[in-house]
Amino acid sequence: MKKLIILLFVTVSYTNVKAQDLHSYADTANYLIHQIENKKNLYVGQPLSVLLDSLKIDPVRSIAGAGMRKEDFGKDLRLYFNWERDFERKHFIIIEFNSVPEYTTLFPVFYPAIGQGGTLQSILLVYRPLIVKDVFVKDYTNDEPVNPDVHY
Amino acid sequence: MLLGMFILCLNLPSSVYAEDYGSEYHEYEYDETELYNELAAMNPGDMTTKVHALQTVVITAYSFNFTVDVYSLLGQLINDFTFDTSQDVFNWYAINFGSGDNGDDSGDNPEPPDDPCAEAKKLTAALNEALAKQEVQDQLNALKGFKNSSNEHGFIITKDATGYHVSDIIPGTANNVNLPGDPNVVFIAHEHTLNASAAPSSTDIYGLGGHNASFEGNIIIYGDDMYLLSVTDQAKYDSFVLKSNQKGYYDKDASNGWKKETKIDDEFGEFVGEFSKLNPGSDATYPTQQYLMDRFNMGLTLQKWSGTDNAFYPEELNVEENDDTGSSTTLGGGGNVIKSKYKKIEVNKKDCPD
Repeated sequence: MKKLIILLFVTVSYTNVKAQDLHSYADTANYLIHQIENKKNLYVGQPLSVLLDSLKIDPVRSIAGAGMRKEDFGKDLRLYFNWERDFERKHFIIIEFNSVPEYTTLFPVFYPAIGQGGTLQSILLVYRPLIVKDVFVKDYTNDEPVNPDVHY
Repeated sequence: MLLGMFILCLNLPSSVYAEDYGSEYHEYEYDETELYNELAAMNPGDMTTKVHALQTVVITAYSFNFTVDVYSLLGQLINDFTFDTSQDVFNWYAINFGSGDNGDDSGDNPEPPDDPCAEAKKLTAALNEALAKQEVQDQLNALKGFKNSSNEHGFIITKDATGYHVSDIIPGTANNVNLPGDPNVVFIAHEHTLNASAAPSSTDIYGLGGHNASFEGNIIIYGDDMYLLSVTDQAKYDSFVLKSNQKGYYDKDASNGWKKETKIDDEFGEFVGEFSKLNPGSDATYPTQQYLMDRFNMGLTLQKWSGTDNAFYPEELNVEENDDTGSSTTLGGGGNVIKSKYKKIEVNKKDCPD
């Protein structure tokens, strides 16, 4: 039993240390959770431009949401705020729209040529006037501990 | 305290009961007493047995549409449970479940099935044995007749002491079909509509759980092609389903079947993007679901039927990664883009020796 109590104490302490070490990362996460997702009512029903213009951090890339059917392509847009490939280090939001242009219009915007992705600017140009249906933020609850010396 | 530590180790979700996972194929009614009796019948006394029992409960909860309070069951099990305080809980958990931290369930080095060709031959023999009965062959051909339908259809193949049997063909919706549960089921067969993908959906994946050992897999008809999704590593599959539940990956209402905001959904989107960049216009869902099966070590194999020699062959995802990836660069038109992770993504039929 004594050992269990010690283990529990170590676990709780570790959690606290992690929170302190991830200061910059946590700040970005908190901003996206509390200022964007939790205040989605400010953006739902508005053109995407309202959300984009209010962001305090700039997205650096985007990808199209996709489903089991071609018609699902681009119905949501994912905006990433860093270049990280590991999910545990990424910051992103997902924006759903009431309606989007057809697949044949959207696909070349995201993939203008073989081996080439569309630029963020060209993608946002298409999406800026579209009406936002919902906004989600990445699920941060399953993030792994990361190197505290890395700030992003 | 003991109960608290135990739950901490397992990191179970607050509620796993009354979930509808996998109910597309199952309509069994398990009651709590029946399940508890099953668990209580297992060798009592040691922690490993009890946690495996609990794991069974959680996994079963995916596959059966039943109501059971896991914490209530855990409490009952704990009452006759002696904890050995000489054991390090976390090491014990790591030994038994591989990570001990409920950490990353996606593998940077996914492990391939031991021998996919041997598995394909086994499944080929199983289906051909069933198809030897005219009734099964007729029903499968009838299902293929719905290939242009805008709704899914399906039926089940069962086997008992008198041989193989088939259910009626059951119509579904554009996205799914509800098939009856049966303890003697050997194959589930259903078709995907042509404006969807041949790829197994997440519901197809979760629908593989909770069957008896006689169950071979889920047949998918898409156009003139036939595929078979099967569990080839039960331990990996069970582990994936358990962790998937903890992390809330499954969302049958999502357009890709994976819950938005989660890691698996993010990887789905990333891989669709990578594939589409290299193969514009091709179905990106099929290779992406296959990628996720490997990436998340689901213990599954996807086979494609060859009508030429009446046999299944494993489908293989072949990718070549770029040497320098992940950094940003600038296009001539301005703006940053992330470099492609891959220079080639293909799905190929695996050559299997005769």
